[in-house]
Amino acid sequence: MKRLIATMCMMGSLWATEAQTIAGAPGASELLARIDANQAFKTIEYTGRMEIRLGKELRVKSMKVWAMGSDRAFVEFTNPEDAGTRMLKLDKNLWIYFPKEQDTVPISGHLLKDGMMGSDVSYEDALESDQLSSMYTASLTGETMADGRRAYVVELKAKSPRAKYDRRVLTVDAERFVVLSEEMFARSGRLLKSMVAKEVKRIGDRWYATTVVMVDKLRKDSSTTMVMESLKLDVVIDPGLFTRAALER
Amino acid sequence: MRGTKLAGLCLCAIALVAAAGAQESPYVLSGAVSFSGAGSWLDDGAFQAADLVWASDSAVELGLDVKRPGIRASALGRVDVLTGGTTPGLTASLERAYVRWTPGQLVATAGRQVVNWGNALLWSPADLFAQTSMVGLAPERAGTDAIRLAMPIGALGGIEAVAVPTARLAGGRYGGRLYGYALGSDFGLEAAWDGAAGATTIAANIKTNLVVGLWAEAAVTIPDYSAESSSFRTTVGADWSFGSDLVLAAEYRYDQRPDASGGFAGAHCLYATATQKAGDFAMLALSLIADIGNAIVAPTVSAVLDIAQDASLTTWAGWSSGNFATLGTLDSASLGATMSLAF
Repeated sequence: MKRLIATMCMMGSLWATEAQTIAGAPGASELLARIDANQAFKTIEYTGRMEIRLGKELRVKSMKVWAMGSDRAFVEFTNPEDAGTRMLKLDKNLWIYFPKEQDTVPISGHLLKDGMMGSDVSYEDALESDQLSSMYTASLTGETMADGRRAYVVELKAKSPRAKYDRRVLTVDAERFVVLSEEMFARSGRLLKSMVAKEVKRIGDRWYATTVVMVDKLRKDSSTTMVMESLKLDVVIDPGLFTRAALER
Repeated sequence: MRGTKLAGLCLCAIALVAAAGAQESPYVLSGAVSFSGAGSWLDDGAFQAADLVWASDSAVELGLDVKRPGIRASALGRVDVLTGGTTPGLTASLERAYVRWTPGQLVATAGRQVVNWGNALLWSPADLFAQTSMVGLAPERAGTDAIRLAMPIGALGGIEAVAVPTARLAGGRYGGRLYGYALGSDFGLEAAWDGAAGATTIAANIKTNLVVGLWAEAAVTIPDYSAESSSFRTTVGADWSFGSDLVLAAEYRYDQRPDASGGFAGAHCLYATATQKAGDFAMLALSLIADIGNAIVAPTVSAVLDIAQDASLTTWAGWSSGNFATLGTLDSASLGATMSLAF
């Protein structure tokens, strides 16, 4: 879920990291290593759009996102209602800056369960930065077809109670090694969230999911589509951006 | 008056920065248009229709942000057209107008800005340069005409120096702050000297999370001359939630020498809020302000509806058993609605 970072920003980065850290059964670990090789990045920068569908209603949030590795991300919202609102993620901590009040508020504990900007992605989802290899065991469970493409099915099982989800099922493109879909389950077996990659683009020498749809299964008739545009990987980003000073600048 | 001139100078500077950047147009114009209608009633001993006062407020809020490499200018102003009520007419206010220059790590800001040092909701002893008051339904810190220098220390800490000069240098306010993040907590140490009041205030604040969010702030004001005694004030608060839909927050304020000009003359005060999501488009809230020592309470219920992209409708109803500043005991009540569209 770390890929879902401050909405999407991190989404990209998250994914990469997730893949690179999954270790488990031989087939699965090799597969995940390929995903990592395909999607891991040092830095990412893009313009993002979050389309939150609630029944027949649509709310759109736009933002600029910068991230460095899996533990540093900076998001600035640009849609009118939230313009100037910024988020800083450092490791597992999150601060939000509200421009009108010129106030920086740490988001912690219970508040992390709230949907970010009303979306299907919680702050907790965005903040999750534990390496999956430390939280899950992986196994390759089969093959399937996804949107006409051959794909592997990989199942992750939590080995720590600290893992946000007890079980996760990934569908991975067999040629491009991009995660095409994912389902996240609670310990009770209940499906909590799902993700589907709607668009995969080639960026440089790698394939990347640039449009994904997240669905919080505990909400009624809602989904959040996250779109990454003008995406740049491994560009030079000033580390000073990922500071509280930059948040309030 | 000096502060007004400073804000005026900043507006000019913003215009210059905007003009300089006109080629690349790195500026953002944003704002909101809103209309409020409200009725209020003040108990003068016997209920009469004439005690009901209806009023409306049509408002336009405009913000301009201009960014150039290493420098940024920002302004936010508001114009209100008031009808009915006790003071109909047109009012204008400038909430912020500053220029921020960032030569390297140093951040220099001059103009009207919110010098926000505290973590508390309504009463923040650590805010030595910002006055917090209820604006509408929520607490809001007012801008201060100040010159501010800030230097980060690591990713989450820093030091600041703030000056609020006056025509007579010795009559200004000058202070500093050290803040950071350690052991899962945001903390700050602050001090300021007020030349007009002839006193120095030392403050500290911390905010942490132990299942529930907790914050505490304390300040002591020491007069320059020993003939007067020091005064102490503190605020402690907590917030927590049930599931992710109901969020509760409460804080208690003790002020050994409360200043009625701040809106609250009582020594022991409480502020509490409860917000409940009501579906994907609505939020219900209940807030309570209480002067415990003087038995004055003011509950307010409100609902915020997300009616369209960037648009909201807020309705509220409130009652108060007295006046927190004057400690008068006349009842009052109000209800109203605001529709707002951001652009």
